[in-house]
Amino acid sequence: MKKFSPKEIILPTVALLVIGLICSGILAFVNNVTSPIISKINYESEVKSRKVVLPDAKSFGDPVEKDGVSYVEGKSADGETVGFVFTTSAKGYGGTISVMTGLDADGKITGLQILSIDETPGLGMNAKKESWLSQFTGKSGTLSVVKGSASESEQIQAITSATITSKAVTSAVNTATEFYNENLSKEAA
Amino acid sequence: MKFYIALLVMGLLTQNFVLAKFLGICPFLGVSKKLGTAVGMSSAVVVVMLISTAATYPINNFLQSHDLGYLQTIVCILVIAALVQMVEIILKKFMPPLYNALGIYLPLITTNCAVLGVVLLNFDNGYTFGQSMINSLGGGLGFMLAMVLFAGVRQKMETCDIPESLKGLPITLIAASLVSLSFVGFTGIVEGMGLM
Amino acid sequence: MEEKRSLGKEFTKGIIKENPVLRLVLGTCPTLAVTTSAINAIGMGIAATIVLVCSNVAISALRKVIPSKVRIPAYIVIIASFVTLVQMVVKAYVPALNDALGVYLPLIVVNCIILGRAEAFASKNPVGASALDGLGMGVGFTTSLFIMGTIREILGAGTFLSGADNLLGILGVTFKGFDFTEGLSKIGLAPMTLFILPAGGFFVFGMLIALANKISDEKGLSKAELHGCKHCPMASTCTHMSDEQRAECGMSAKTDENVKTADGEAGNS
Repeated sequence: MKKFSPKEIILPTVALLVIGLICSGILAFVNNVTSPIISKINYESEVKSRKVVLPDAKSFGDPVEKDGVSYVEGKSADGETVGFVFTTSAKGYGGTISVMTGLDADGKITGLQILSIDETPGLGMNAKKESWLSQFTGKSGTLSVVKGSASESEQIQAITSATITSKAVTSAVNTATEFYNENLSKEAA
Repeated sequence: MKFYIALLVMGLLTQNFVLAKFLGICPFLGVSKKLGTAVGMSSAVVVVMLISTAATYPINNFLQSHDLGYLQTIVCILVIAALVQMVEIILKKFMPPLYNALGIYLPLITTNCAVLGVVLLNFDNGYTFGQSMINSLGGGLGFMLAMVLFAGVRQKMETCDIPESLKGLPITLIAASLVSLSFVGFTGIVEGMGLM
Repeated sequence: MEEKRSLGKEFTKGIIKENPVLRLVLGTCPTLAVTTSAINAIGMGIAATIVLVCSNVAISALRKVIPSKVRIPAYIVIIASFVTLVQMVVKAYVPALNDALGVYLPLIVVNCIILGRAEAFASKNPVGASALDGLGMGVGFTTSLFIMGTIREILGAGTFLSGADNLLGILGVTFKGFDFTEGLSKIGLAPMTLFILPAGGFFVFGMLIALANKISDEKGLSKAELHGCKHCPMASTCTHMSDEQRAECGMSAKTDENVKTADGEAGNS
């Protein structure tokens, strides 16, 4: 082992430290600039998604968190409750899938949006397609996934070669409808 | 418990780091010519993945709780680089036989995206400490499985008659494609075992 | 005049002669992972190019200040900072790209092209040449990714440039890309999903390299080969490998010089 003089140890250490400090300083500054923009974008895209899944609502209440489910109330122009928008998630194939579900006052699904998903491109990623999501609209109750074509009203046709993804999305939707039936529906209230 | 087994099976077979997530392709193509090197390299990757996950988990918690999430990437890569050096020095000093078996691959691992990848994926998925460790173990073992299988495939390929333009790297990639395709066959296994 | 020509060369060499993906075979992970669509490929290419140019400039400007013993950690800090910067900007202005690239965006840090260029070029050359070198390599990287993405998207998904409005929406582009699936289904065809699966990535990449080899063969250039550690930026630290092991990894035998520098590093860190 070679012996190092103090200068040989201190100089590189100080240089590395200074570079590290300058870099973190710049990052902190840019983070200050971009983080409000990022939260604004997230908020705006959430509001936009809400309107897509519950088109009848003209305005939305404040978000409520309960039992790990987050929801907002959708109101009509004269302040009446027209439904709720839920944000729920379930474990998919590649990670957590986060789903936004709109339910009308009768507990019927009015629309579905995938908020975040990280599945296999070409297979599970097809869950984002409107052509698959649209089969949820109008359904109610606890849904189940079937391979092949869905024959009953409470069945969802699985995406080809992506049953786990289909099940995950469906289970996230079921979490929302169950929560609705237990806490928010007319019978529960 | 079920979830832990599911994580392991996914890391090994269905979400294999190399064949499904394309992490750690450089060593997969570069160091898989011989079985011995493939085993040595991938054991080193498993060890480094586990140590890095254990070390970065509390650090990330600290960063998140102090609103310093934006330093995540920079801190993680530095911690991994420092850890790799430390492991190397410790092995050299105290466990020379192990150092001779694994040590030579350690410096190459710092820039192996599988290690940084598994750490960042653990954070992204919000895994707990236990889940993160199991996910890293599954990822590392999956890397090893792919390396070892592929070393076997490449040894067979050496005696084959290959078209001129495909010789070398192209045929290696096409072989990797076939190995990857065979892993697609495991797709239903997590569901079939009733783990999800 | 001489000066200008050589600067031009720094730029163009990265696009064809030393194309990082198809000739040097670097950065294979993102090349395979994000090329499921042409737009993702362009997004990844642009993000990596920005990091490459910025880090090349910064490292070249600081090349006389950074002590050689800590140069690798210093490069990593600088590169990681630029990657984080790009990540923040992408999150703020092109959130769809952030979703599409996922973990591969922060993983630009460990893209061998960037650390490799820092070590091989920027640490030895002036700022202007380093910037052009980074830009050329970046354009070469982006072009190869775009070719891969185009082939895989058209064959595997039956679309081309889909999601263009997501990447370029900030510039007011509303073009959603071409969709051939309907036309194909009319004649009873469906896209070959295989091509956007991982297996298809390996396959297309292999065929592209074979093609590049064929062309360079005809032009009398050397083939793209697996360089093993030859282009690996960490290679200089692998001195305790025996000559036999080094040969296995495609490195030259130990020389006194690289043993000396790397010993200093290992001892210090």
